[in-house]
Amino acid sequence: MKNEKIELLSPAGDLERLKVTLLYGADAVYIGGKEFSLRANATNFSVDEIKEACNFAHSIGKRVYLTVNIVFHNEDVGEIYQYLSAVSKCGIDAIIASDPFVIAYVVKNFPHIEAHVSTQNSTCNYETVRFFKQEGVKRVVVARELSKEEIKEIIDKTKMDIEVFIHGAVCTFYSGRCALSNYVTNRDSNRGGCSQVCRFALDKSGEQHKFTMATKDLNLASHIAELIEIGVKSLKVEGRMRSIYYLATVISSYRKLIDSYYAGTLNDTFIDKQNKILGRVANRETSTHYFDHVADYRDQYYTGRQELSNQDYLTLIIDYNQKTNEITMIERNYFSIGDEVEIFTPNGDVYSLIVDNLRNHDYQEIDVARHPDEVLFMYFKGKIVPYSMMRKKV
Amino acid sequence: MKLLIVKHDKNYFNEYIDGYILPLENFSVSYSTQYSLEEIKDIALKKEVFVLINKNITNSEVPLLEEILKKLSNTSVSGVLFYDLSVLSIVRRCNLSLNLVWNQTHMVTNYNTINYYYEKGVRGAFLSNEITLEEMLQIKEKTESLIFANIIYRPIISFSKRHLIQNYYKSFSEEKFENPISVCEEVSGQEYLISEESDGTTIILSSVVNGSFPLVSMVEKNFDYGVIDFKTGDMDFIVSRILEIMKGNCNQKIFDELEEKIGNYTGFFYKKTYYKVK
Repeated sequence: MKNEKIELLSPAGDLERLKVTLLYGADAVYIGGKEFSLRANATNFSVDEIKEACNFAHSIGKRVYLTVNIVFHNEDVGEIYQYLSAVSKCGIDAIIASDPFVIAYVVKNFPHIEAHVSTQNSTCNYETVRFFKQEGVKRVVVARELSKEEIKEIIDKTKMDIEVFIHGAVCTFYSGRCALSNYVTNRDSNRGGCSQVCRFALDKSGEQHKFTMATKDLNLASHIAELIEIGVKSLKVEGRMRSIYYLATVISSYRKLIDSYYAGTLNDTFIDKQNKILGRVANRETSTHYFDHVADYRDQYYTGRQELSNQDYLTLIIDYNQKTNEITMIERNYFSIGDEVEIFTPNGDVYSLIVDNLRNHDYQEIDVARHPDEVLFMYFKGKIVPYSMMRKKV
Repeated sequence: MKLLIVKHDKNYFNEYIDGYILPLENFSVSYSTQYSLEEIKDIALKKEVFVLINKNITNSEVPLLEEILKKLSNTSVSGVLFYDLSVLSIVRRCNLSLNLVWNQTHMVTNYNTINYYYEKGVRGAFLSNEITLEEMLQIKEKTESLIFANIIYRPIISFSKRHLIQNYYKSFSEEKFENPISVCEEVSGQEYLISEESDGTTIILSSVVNGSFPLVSMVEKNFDYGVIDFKTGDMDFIVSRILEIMKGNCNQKIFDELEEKIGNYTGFFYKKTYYKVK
């Protein structure tokens, strides 16, 4: 077993997501600013919000990494120095970049901020990691095309901090090595405009045979022990545009998996249980891709797929009166008296219950919650805190 | 400005061009014609040669890559076009006498990064196809680096480690295996070629980009190398017309003749990409 606990790194598209994911157990978050970040169409953070994010994270002993990971064009170059100067005063712990001039600038001018190399560089070998190490880089996010053995060899040969994607969407092509979006939709994939053309329908010429080249999502929940034991520094979850429910669920599950490993209680039954929970928030099937095998046709969707949208997420709990045991919550999806549900909390507690009381915003008793965004009230005794959530029973 | 062609045909030679780009056997992707070290040495005795090493290098390939780079440093090749930074790392670590050209397909998009690599000893940069002519000209103004640009070419659009054609046929339980395959994307109506090799799969645009007009500005700005990169039976004809333009002959007839042969698609020379949806 390793002494230093592996880091669980979560995405956060805005301040609310950041708070939720940190409360649910992420050790660090990565966020994008309004500029220079590869999720150009996420809400993202203003400079003031970055400062607020850092203050909140640091107040609970957690870290914030800022993505500045676009591939720069001339027009972007002029503004970057002022931006880096501004964000360097916000308290961020690291900058994740792909363009080496940004990395070099951060290393030279902001020694209090770590430089991390983005997965956009698709780093596949130890020699390249050595190059970055010499440049003063603290951590490399390796390519999603690597096997466990390759990741281990990189760690063994470089002693570098290595970050690995463990969950979420993956690209069909090497990151940084795809301009399909540019050609098909005129949106620049390497500057955050990727329109995910690999999920579009293609037609094999002369055959009227439509297909896609999309990949299934990544899920390495069953490999947490191996990732820890080979010496990975940080486990990264994808999805800066994902909902708070998704983040709370995914981060909570991985938190429990990691903690159980260090507690010596991780076993197949527990992993299966967490995978079942993870499966309920997924909208695509998942795979381990290259981590434990050579990815093949079973890791892709050639025939299109059904978006597995679900209505599991029932309410977000915004307040709890410990004297009266009354929950105040906001409805997200339809549910009714008699439904079997679970309340899960940032502390990791999960309560199973049958809904037996419910009041609407006018404090009238109701049988059915059918108005998303409506404020509802319910009595329940437990260690409930704000940002707990209610879902259908898993 | 010098003219290079990517040598798609081992039997094709042209005495008027300045040199060739030769994809290195086992270390290049997206090109079906590749060259051994011996073949490269041989051609380098007759013409200027740049060696293309453009694959994502794996751990297991690093030792052989080092060996090959050492051998290349003892030849008369003019330089190595590299994608993976392990090439740069090895050349620096072993202090090899080898000119390097940064050639990261879609990432060579600004002068700052080109200058960063120049300071690391990388003497050239092969510009991405996805930037505008205006951006290219600005880059040339703001760097000491040798600048390479595609002039007439079929754009390589994407490269995957996945075997996308094999996967396609297996997904549909089809026995046959065609490689490459042509596909059409519904939204844009554009046609693409998908070709698979042992290291993965490449997507190439079917249309040829005609950069004959942009070439005039590149010549004026003293670009260092222009490149022709596509397989055609009309290479002699195209080379002769491009060389005319490079000499300053801007007779409309030349542009018309080229357009007749390869069309008038100009890629991103005059079209800017965007990345924020308003």
